[in-house]
Amino acid sequence: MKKIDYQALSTELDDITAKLQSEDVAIDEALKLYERGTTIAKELEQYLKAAENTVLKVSGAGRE
Amino acid sequence: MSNDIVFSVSDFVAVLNQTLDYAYPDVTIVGELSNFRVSKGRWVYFDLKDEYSSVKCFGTVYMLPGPLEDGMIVQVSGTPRLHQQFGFSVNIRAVQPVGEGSIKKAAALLEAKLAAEGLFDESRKRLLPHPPKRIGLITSSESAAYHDFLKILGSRWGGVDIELFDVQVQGEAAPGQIVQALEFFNTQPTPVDVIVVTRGGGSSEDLAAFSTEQVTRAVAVSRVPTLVAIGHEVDISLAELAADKRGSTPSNAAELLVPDKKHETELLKDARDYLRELLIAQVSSKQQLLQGTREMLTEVTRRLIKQQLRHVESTRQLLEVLSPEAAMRRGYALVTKNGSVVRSIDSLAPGQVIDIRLIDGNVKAEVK
Repeated sequence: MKKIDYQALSTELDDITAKLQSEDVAIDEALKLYERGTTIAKELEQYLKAAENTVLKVSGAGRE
Repeated sequence: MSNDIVFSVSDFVAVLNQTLDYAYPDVTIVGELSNFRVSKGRWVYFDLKDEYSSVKCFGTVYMLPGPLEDGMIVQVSGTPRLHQQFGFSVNIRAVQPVGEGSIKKAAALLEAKLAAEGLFDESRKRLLPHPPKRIGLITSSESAAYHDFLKILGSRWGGVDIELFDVQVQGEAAPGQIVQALEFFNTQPTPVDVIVVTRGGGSSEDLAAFSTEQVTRAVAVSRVPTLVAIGHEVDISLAELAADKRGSTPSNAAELLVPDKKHETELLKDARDYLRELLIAQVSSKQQLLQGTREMLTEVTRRLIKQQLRHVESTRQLLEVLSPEAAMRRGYALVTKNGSVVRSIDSLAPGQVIDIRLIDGNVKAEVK
Protein backbone atom coordinates (compact mmCIF):
# COMPACT_ATOMS: atom_id res chain seq x y z
CA MET A 1 0.00 0.00 0.00
CA LYS A 2 1.55 3.21 -1.18
CA LYS A 3 2.24 5.67 1.61
CA ILE A 4 0.46 8.95 1.08
CA ASP A 5 0.38 12.10 3.09
CA TYR A 6 -3.34 12.16 3.75
CA GLN A 7 -3.38 15.55 5.39
CA ALA A 8 -1.30 17.22 2.65
CA LEU A 9 -3.46 15.82 -0.16
CA SER A 10 -6.62 16.74 1.72
CA THR A 11 -5.39 20.31 2.04
CA GLU A 12 -4.52 20.42 -1.66
CA LEU A 13 -8.08 19.29 -2.46
CA ASP A 14 -9.49 22.12 -0.33
CA ASP A 15 -7.27 24.63 -2.15
CA ILE A 16 -8.42 23.39 -5.54
CA THR A 17 -12.08 23.68 -4.49
CA ALA A 18 -11.48 27.24 -3.28
CA LYS A 19 -9.78 28.20 -6.57
CA LEU A 20 -12.62 26.77 -8.64
CA GLN A 21 -15.09 28.78 -6.59
CA SER A 22 -13.43 32.07 -7.47
CA GLU A 23 -14.45 34.11 -10.51
CA ASP A 24 -11.20 34.68 -12.30
CA VAL A 25 -10.13 31.21 -13.47
CA ALA A 26 -9.43 30.68 -17.15
CA ILE A 27 -11.37 27.80 -18.65
CA ASP A 28 -8.38 25.55 -19.37
CA GLU A 29 -7.00 26.22 -15.88
CA ALA A 30 -10.42 25.25 -14.49
CA LEU A 31 -10.32 21.98 -16.39
CA LYS A 32 -6.84 21.19 -15.08
CA LEU A 33 -7.90 21.94 -11.52
CA TYR A 34 -10.99 19.77 -11.87
CA GLU A 35 -8.93 16.86 -13.13
CA ARG A 36 -6.32 17.13 -10.38
CA GLY A 37 -9.01 17.51 -7.72
CA THR A 38 -10.91 14.45 -8.91
CA THR A 39 -7.70 12.42 -9.02
CA ILE A 40 -6.83 13.38 -5.45
CA ALA A 41 -10.31 12.57 -4.19
CA LYS A 42 -10.20 9.14 -5.85
CA GLU A 43 -6.72 8.45 -4.46
CA LEU A 44 -7.84 9.34 -0.94
CA GLU A 45 -10.96 7.18 -1.23
CA GLN A 46 -8.84 4.27 -2.39
CA TYR A 47 -6.44 4.76 0.52
CA LEU A 48 -9.30 4.71 3.02
CA LYS A 49 -10.60 1.49 1.57
CA ALA A 50 -7.34 -0.41 1.59
CA ALA A 51 -4.94 0.99 4.20
CA GLU A 52 -4.21 -1.05 7.33
CA ASN A 53 -2.61 -0.11 10.65
CA THR A 54 0.61 -1.80 11.75
CA VAL A 55 1.86 -2.43 15.29
CA LEU A 56 5.56 -2.59 16.10
CA LYS A 57 6.78 -3.35 19.62
CA VAL A 58 9.67 -0.96 20.25
CA SER A 59 10.39 -1.83 23.83
CA GLY A 60 9.00 -3.54 26.85
CA ALA A 61 10.07 -1.99 30.09
CA GLY A 62 10.24 -5.49 31.48
CA ARG A 63 8.02 -7.15 34.00
CA GLU A 64 9.21 -7.67 37.50
CA MET B 1 21.14 -16.40 82.29
CA SER B 2 23.80 -14.29 80.66
CA ASN B 3 24.85 -14.43 77.00
CA ASP B 4 28.27 -15.69 76.00
CA ILE B 5 28.98 -12.79 73.68
CA VAL B 6 29.57 -9.28 74.94
CA PHE B 7 29.29 -6.73 72.15
CA SER B 8 30.71 -3.33 71.84
CA VAL B 9 28.02 -0.84 70.93
CA SER B 10 29.19 -0.55 67.36
CA ASP B 11 29.47 -4.29 67.01
CA PHE B 12 25.97 -4.70 68.33
CA VAL B 13 24.65 -2.22 65.79
CA ALA B 14 26.49 -4.00 62.98
CA VAL B 15 25.27 -7.44 64.00
CA LEU B 16 21.72 -6.28 64.47
CA ASN B 17 21.75 -4.72 61.00
CA GLN B 18 23.14 -7.94 59.55
CA THR B 19 20.31 -9.84 61.18
CA LEU B 20 17.75 -7.40 59.91
CA ASP B 21 19.33 -7.56 56.48
CA TYR B 22 19.01 -11.31 56.52
CA ALA B 23 15.48 -11.47 57.89
CA TYR B 24 13.93 -8.37 56.40
CA PRO B 25 15.99 -7.10 53.48
CA ASP B 26 12.90 -5.39 52.20
CA VAL B 27 9.73 -4.75 54.07
CA THR B 28 6.38 -3.19 53.16
CA ILE B 29 4.34 -1.39 55.80
CA VAL B 30 1.06 0.47 55.69
CA GLY B 31 0.35 3.22 58.17
CA GLU B 32 -0.59 6.80 58.76
CA LEU B 33 1.80 9.59 57.95
CA SER B 34 2.82 11.78 60.84
CA ASN B 35 5.45 14.48 61.47
CA PHE B 36 6.18 14.63 57.78
CA ARG B 37 9.00 17.03 57.00
CA VAL B 38 11.51 17.68 54.25
CA SER B 39 14.99 18.91 55.15
CA LYS B 40 17.26 20.94 52.86
CA GLY B 41 14.96 20.10 49.95
CA ARG B 42 16.43 16.58 49.82
CA TRP B 43 15.89 14.52 52.97
CA VAL B 44 12.47 13.26 53.99
CA TYR B 45 11.59 12.26 57.55
CA PHE B 46 8.29 11.01 58.88
CA ASP B 47 6.72 8.66 61.37
CA LEU B 48 4.57 5.81 60.18
CA LYS B 49 2.02 4.97 62.80
CA ASP B 50 -1.14 3.09 63.63
CA GLU B 51 -3.30 3.06 66.74
CA TYR B 52 -0.62 1.58 69.01
CA SER B 53 2.77 1.96 67.37
CA SER B 54 4.98 4.35 65.51
CA VAL B 55 8.07 3.73 63.39
CA LYS B 56 10.50 6.34 62.09
CA CYS B 57 11.07 6.51 58.34
CA PHE B 58 13.77 8.23 56.34
CA GLY B 59 14.24 8.79 52.61
CA THR B 60 14.93 11.27 49.81
CA VAL B 61 12.54 13.55 47.93
CA TYR B 62 13.19 11.56 44.76
CA MET B 63 11.14 8.65 46.03
CA LEU B 64 8.12 10.81 46.74
CA PRO B 65 5.15 10.36 44.38
CA GLY B 66 4.11 13.93 45.09
CA PRO B 67 3.49 16.19 48.06
CA LEU B 68 2.35 14.28 51.13
CA GLU B 69 0.56 15.37 54.25
CA ASP B 70 0.19 14.16 57.77
CA GLY B 71 -2.88 12.02 58.17
CA MET B 72 -2.53 10.29 54.82
CA ILE B 73 -2.48 6.51 54.76
CA VAL B 74 0.58 5.37 52.87
CA GLN B 75 2.33 2.17 51.94
CA VAL B 76 6.11 2.28 52.27
CA SER B 77 8.71 -0.18 51.04
CA GLY B 78 12.19 -0.09 52.45
CA THR B 79 14.91 -1.55 54.60
CA PRO B 80 14.83 -1.47 58.41
CA ARG B 81 18.11 -0.30 59.94
CA LEU B 82 19.56 0.63 63.25
CA HIS B 83 21.56 3.76 62.58
CA GLN B 84 24.82 4.12 64.39
CA GLN B 85 23.79 7.44 65.86
CA PHE B 86 20.20 8.20 65.17
CA GLY B 87 18.42 5.09 66.27
CA PHE B 88 16.08 2.83 64.38
CA SER B 89 14.44 3.85 61.13
CA VAL B 90 13.13 2.32 57.96
CA ASN B 91 15.10 3.56 54.92
CA ILE B 92 12.40 4.16 52.38
CA ARG B 93 12.74 3.01 48.81
CA ALA B 94 9.19 3.78 47.73
CA VAL B 95 6.11 5.35 49.23
CA GLN B 96 2.65 5.75 47.82
CA PRO B 97 -0.69 6.79 49.23
CA VAL B 98 -3.22 4.02 49.69
CA GLY B 99 -6.91 4.11 50.28
CA GLU B 100 -9.32 6.33 48.39
CA GLY B 101 -9.08 9.21 50.82
CA SER B 102 -5.32 9.44 50.93
CA ILE B 103 -4.89 9.00 47.26
CA LYS B 104 -7.38 11.72 46.48
CA LYS B 105 -5.78 13.98 49.04
CA ALA B 106 -2.32 13.42 47.58
CA ALA B 107 -3.61 14.06 44.10
CA ALA B 108 -5.26 17.30 45.25
CA LEU B 109 -2.01 18.53 46.81
CA LEU B 110 0.00 17.66 43.75
CA GLU B 111 -2.57 19.14 41.42
CA ALA B 112 -2.44 22.45 43.27
CA LYS B 113 1.35 22.47 43.20
CA LEU B 114 1.64 21.69 39.49
CA ALA B 115 -1.25 23.95 38.50
CA ALA B 116 0.55 26.82 40.21
CA GLU B 117 3.55 26.06 38.00
CA GLY B 118 1.33 26.39 34.95
CA LEU B 119 1.68 22.78 33.83
CA PHE B 120 -2.04 22.49 33.07
CA ASP B 121 -2.46 25.83 31.27
CA GLU B 122 -4.61 25.76 28.12
CA SER B 123 -2.04 27.89 26.34
CA ARG B 124 0.51 25.08 26.59
CA LYS B 125 -1.69 22.62 24.76
CA ARG B 126 -0.81 21.87 21.16
CA LEU B 127 -2.96 20.59 18.33
CA LEU B 128 -2.49 16.96 17.44
CA PRO B 129 -1.78 15.99 13.82
CA HIS B 130 -5.04 14.69 12.40
CA PRO B 131 -4.69 11.99 11.21
CA PRO B 132 -1.28 11.02 12.57
CA LYS B 133 1.01 8.78 10.53
CA ARG B 134 3.04 7.34 13.44
CA ILE B 135 1.85 6.85 17.00
CA GLY B 136 3.92 6.06 20.09
CA LEU B 137 1.63 3.93 22.28
CA ILE B 138 2.36 3.54 25.98
CA THR B 139 0.14 0.95 27.60
CA SER B 140 0.02 -2.60 28.86
CA SER B 141 -0.21 -5.03 25.95
CA GLU B 142 -2.00 -7.48 28.20
CA SER B 143 -4.85 -5.10 28.92
CA ALA B 144 -8.32 -4.85 27.45
CA ALA B 145 -7.58 -1.16 26.94
CA TYR B 146 -4.85 -2.00 24.45
CA HIS B 147 -7.11 -4.23 22.40
CA ASP B 148 -10.03 -1.78 22.57
CA PHE B 149 -7.81 1.05 21.38
CA LEU B 150 -6.42 -0.93 18.45
CA LYS B 151 -9.84 -2.21 17.47
CA ILE B 152 -11.51 1.20 17.39
CA LEU B 153 -8.49 2.74 15.65
CA GLY B 154 -8.52 0.03 12.99
CA SER B 155 -12.23 0.36 12.32
CA ARG B 156 -11.94 4.11 11.87
CA TRP B 157 -8.68 4.58 9.98
CA GLY B 158 -5.81 2.79 8.25
CA GLY B 159 -2.20 3.33 7.31
CA VAL B 160 -1.11 4.31 10.82
CA ASP B 161 2.16 2.89 12.17
CA ILE B 162 1.84 2.18 15.88
CA GLU B 163 4.98 1.76 17.97
CA LEU B 164 4.17 0.04 21.25
CA PHE B 165 6.18 0.59 24.41
CA ASP B 166 4.83 -2.05 26.76
CA VAL B 167 4.63 -0.93 30.42
CA GLN B 168 3.00 -1.81 33.67
CA VAL B 169 0.08 0.55 34.21
CA GLN B 170 -0.31 -0.01 37.96
CA GLY B 171 1.87 -0.90 40.87
CA GLU B 172 5.16 0.32 42.20
CA ALA B 173 7.14 -0.07 39.00
CA ALA B 174 4.58 1.66 36.79
CA PRO B 175 5.58 5.33 37.14
CA GLY B 176 9.24 4.63 36.37
CA GLN B 177 8.38 2.57 33.31
CA ILE B 178 5.90 5.13 32.00
CA VAL B 179 8.49 7.91 32.35
CA GLN B 180 11.04 5.71 30.59
CA ALA B 181 8.60 5.18 27.73
CA LEU B 182 7.90 8.92 27.41
CA GLU B 183 11.63 9.61 27.32
CA PHE B 184 12.08 6.94 24.66
CA PHE B 185 9.55 8.52 22.33
CA ASN B 186 11.03 11.96 22.95
CA THR B 187 14.56 10.93 22.00
CA GLN B 188 13.99 9.01 18.78
CA PRO B 189 15.91 10.41 15.77
CA THR B 190 12.60 10.75 13.92
CA PRO B 191 9.93 11.34 16.56
CA VAL B 192 6.41 9.97 16.24
CA ASP B 193 3.54 12.36 15.49
CA VAL B 194 1.80 11.80 18.81
CA ILE B 195 2.28 9.80 22.02
CA VAL B 196 -0.76 8.00 23.37
CA VAL B 197 -0.77 6.97 27.04
CA THR B 198 -3.76 4.91 27.99
CA ARG B 199 -5.21 2.32 30.37
CA GLY B 200 -8.65 1.11 31.30
CA GLY B 201 -10.69 1.63 34.44
CA GLY B 202 -9.71 0.62 37.96
CA SER B 203 -9.61 1.71 41.57
CA SER B 204 -7.85 4.86 42.72
CA GLU B 205 -4.86 2.72 43.64
CA ASP B 206 -4.83 1.13 40.21
CA LEU B 207 -4.77 4.51 38.50
CA ALA B 208 -2.40 6.18 40.99
CA ALA B 209 0.66 5.98 38.73
CA PHE B 210 -0.92 8.51 36.37
CA SER B 211 -1.27 11.09 39.12
CA THR B 212 2.32 10.86 40.34
CA GLU B 213 4.55 13.88 40.02
CA GLN B 214 7.17 12.17 37.86
CA VAL B 215 4.67 10.89 35.29
CA THR B 216 2.73 14.17 35.19
CA ARG B 217 5.92 16.17 34.68
CA ALA B 218 7.16 13.78 32.01
CA VAL B 219 3.91 14.26 30.08
CA ALA B 220 4.08 18.04 30.51
CA VAL B 221 7.63 18.37 29.17
CA SER B 222 7.12 15.99 26.25
CA ARG B 223 8.19 17.68 23.02
CA VAL B 224 6.01 15.23 21.14
CA PRO B 225 2.30 16.05 21.50
CA THR B 226 0.51 13.77 23.95
CA LEU B 227 -2.93 12.26 24.24
CA VAL B 228 -3.63 10.67 27.62
CA ALA B 229 -6.74 8.59 28.36
CA ILE B 230 -6.93 6.93 31.75
CA GLY B 231 -9.76 4.91 33.20
CA HIS B 232 -13.38 5.78 32.69
CA GLU B 233 -15.15 9.01 31.88
CA VAL B 234 -15.20 10.24 35.50
CA ASP B 235 -11.55 9.53 36.24
CA ILE B 236 -9.31 12.49 35.58
CA SER B 237 -5.66 11.83 36.37
CA LEU B 238 -3.05 14.58 36.59
CA ALA B 239 -1.26 13.20 33.56
CA GLU B 240 -4.44 13.81 31.58
CA LEU B 241 -4.53 17.43 32.79
CA ALA B 242 -0.94 17.92 31.66
CA ALA B 243 -1.48 16.29 28.26
CA ASP B 244 -2.16 18.19 25.06
CA LYS B 245 -5.41 16.30 24.74
CA ARG B 246 -7.41 14.16 27.13
CA GLY B 247 -9.45 11.11 26.20
CA SER B 248 -12.11 9.84 28.55
CA THR B 249 -11.41 6.17 27.75
CA PRO B 250 -9.03 4.17 25.53
CA SER B 251 -11.80 3.87 22.92
CA ASN B 252 -12.44 7.61 23.07
CA ALA B 253 -8.71 8.14 22.56
CA ALA B 254 -8.92 6.28 19.26
CA GLU B 255 -11.93 8.36 18.26
CA LEU B 256 -10.11 11.61 19.00
CA LEU B 257 -6.94 10.55 17.26
CA VAL B 258 -8.23 9.71 13.79
CA PRO B 259 -11.21 10.63 11.63
CA ASP B 260 -13.86 8.08 10.70
CA LYS B 261 -13.14 6.71 7.26
CA LYS B 262 -16.84 6.13 6.56
CA HIS B 263 -17.48 9.81 7.15
CA GLU B 264 -14.37 10.85 5.21
CA THR B 265 -15.42 8.70 2.25
CA GLU B 266 -18.80 10.45 2.20
CA LEU B 267 -17.07 13.83 2.30
CA LEU B 268 -14.79 12.83 -0.57
CA LYS B 269 -17.75 11.73 -2.68
CA ASP B 270 -19.43 15.06 -1.94
CA ALA B 271 -16.20 16.85 -2.81
CA ARG B 272 -16.09 15.16 -6.21
CA ASP B 273 -19.72 16.07 -6.93
CA TYR B 274 -19.05 19.62 -5.85
CA LEU B 275 -15.98 19.87 -8.08
CA ARG B 276 -18.08 18.81 -11.06
CA GLU B 277 -20.71 21.41 -10.22
CA LEU B 278 -18.03 24.06 -9.93
CA LEU B 279 -16.61 23.16 -13.31
CA ILE B 280 -20.05 23.31 -14.92
CA ALA B 281 -20.63 26.66 -13.25
CA GLN B 282 -17.30 27.95 -14.55
CA VAL B 283 -18.10 26.82 -18.10
CA SER B 284 -21.61 28.24 -18.03
CA SER B 285 -20.40 31.54 -16.66
CA LYS B 286 -17.84 31.73 -19.45
CA GLN B 287 -20.62 30.92 -21.94
CA GLN B 288 -22.75 33.68 -20.51
CA LEU B 289 -19.86 36.09 -20.82
CA LEU B 290 -19.48 35.05 -24.44
CA GLN B 291 -23.19 35.48 -25.10
CA GLY B 292 -23.13 38.90 -23.52
CA THR B 293 -20.21 39.94 -25.67
CA ARG B 294 -21.94 38.66 -28.77
CA GLU B 295 -25.08 40.60 -27.96
CA MET B 296 -23.10 43.70 -27.27
CA LEU B 297 -21.31 43.40 -30.63
CA THR B 298 -24.62 43.00 -32.43
CA GLU B 299 -26.09 46.04 -30.71
CA VAL B 300 -23.05 48.17 -31.44
CA THR B 301 -23.05 47.12 -35.07
CA ARG B 302 -26.74 47.88 -35.40
CA ARG B 303 -26.24 51.33 -33.98
CA LEU B 304 -23.33 52.02 -36.29
CA ILE B 305 -25.37 50.98 -39.29
CA LYS B 306 -28.30 53.16 -38.22
CA GLN B 307 -25.93 56.02 -37.80
CA GLN B 308 -24.54 55.50 -41.28
CA LEU B 309 -27.99 55.27 -42.77
CA ARG B 310 -28.95 58.57 -41.17
CA HIS B 311 -25.80 60.09 -42.55
CA VAL B 312 -26.54 58.80 -45.99
CA GLU B 313 -30.10 60.05 -45.78
CA SER B 314 -29.11 63.56 -44.75
CA THR B 315 -26.50 63.66 -47.49
CA ARG B 316 -29.12 62.62 -49.99
CA GLN B 317 -31.43 65.34 -48.77
CA LEU B 318 -28.65 67.85 -49.07
CA LEU B 319 -27.90 66.73 -52.58
CA GLU B 320 -31.55 67.00 -53.35
CA VAL B 321 -31.62 70.63 -52.21
CA LEU B 322 -28.46 71.46 -54.10
CA SER B 323 -29.53 69.80 -57.35
CA PRO B 324 -30.17 71.83 -60.53
CA GLU B 325 -33.71 70.47 -60.69
CA ALA B 326 -34.48 71.85 -57.24
CA ALA B 327 -33.12 75.26 -58.33
CA MET B 328 -35.13 75.18 -61.56
CA ARG B 329 -38.29 74.39 -59.58
CA ARG B 330 -37.65 77.57 -57.66
CA GLY B 331 -37.51 79.51 -60.97
CA TYR B 332 -33.86 79.42 -61.88
CA ALA B 333 -32.90 78.64 -65.48
CA LEU B 334 -29.87 76.93 -66.90
CA VAL B 335 -28.41 79.00 -69.72
CA THR B 336 -26.14 77.34 -72.29
CA LYS B 337 -24.50 78.72 -75.50
CA ASN B 338 -23.31 76.14 -77.99
CA GLY B 339 -23.57 73.48 -75.37
CA SER B 340 -21.52 75.28 -72.68
CA VAL B 341 -23.00 76.69 -69.54
CA VAL B 342 -23.15 80.46 -69.40
CA ARG B 343 -22.26 81.76 -65.99
CA SER B 344 -21.53 85.45 -66.73
CA ILE B 345 -23.09 88.14 -68.90
CA ASP B 346 -19.57 88.97 -70.08
CA SER B 347 -19.58 85.86 -72.18
CA LEU B 348 -22.65 87.09 -74.08
CA ALA B 349 -22.95 89.59 -76.96
CA PRO B 350 -26.10 90.93 -78.61
CA GLY B 351 -27.32 88.79 -81.44
CA GLN B 352 -26.03 85.51 -80.05
CA VAL B 353 -28.39 82.61 -79.70
CA ILE B 354 -28.63 80.99 -76.31
CA ASP B 355 -30.46 77.92 -74.94
CA ILE B 356 -32.63 78.48 -71.90
CA ARG B 357 -33.56 75.40 -70.03
CA LEU B 358 -36.46 75.55 -67.57
CA ILE B 359 -37.96 72.81 -65.41
CA ASP B 360 -40.53 71.91 -68.05
CA GLY B 361 -38.52 72.37 -71.26
CA ASN B 362 -36.06 74.29 -73.46
CA VAL B 363 -36.38 77.54 -75.45
CA LYS B 364 -34.02 79.28 -77.82
CA ALA B 365 -33.53 83.03 -77.39
CA GLU B 366 -31.59 85.88 -78.97
CA VAL B 367 -29.54 88.26 -76.81
CA LYS B 368 -30.63 91.88 -77.22
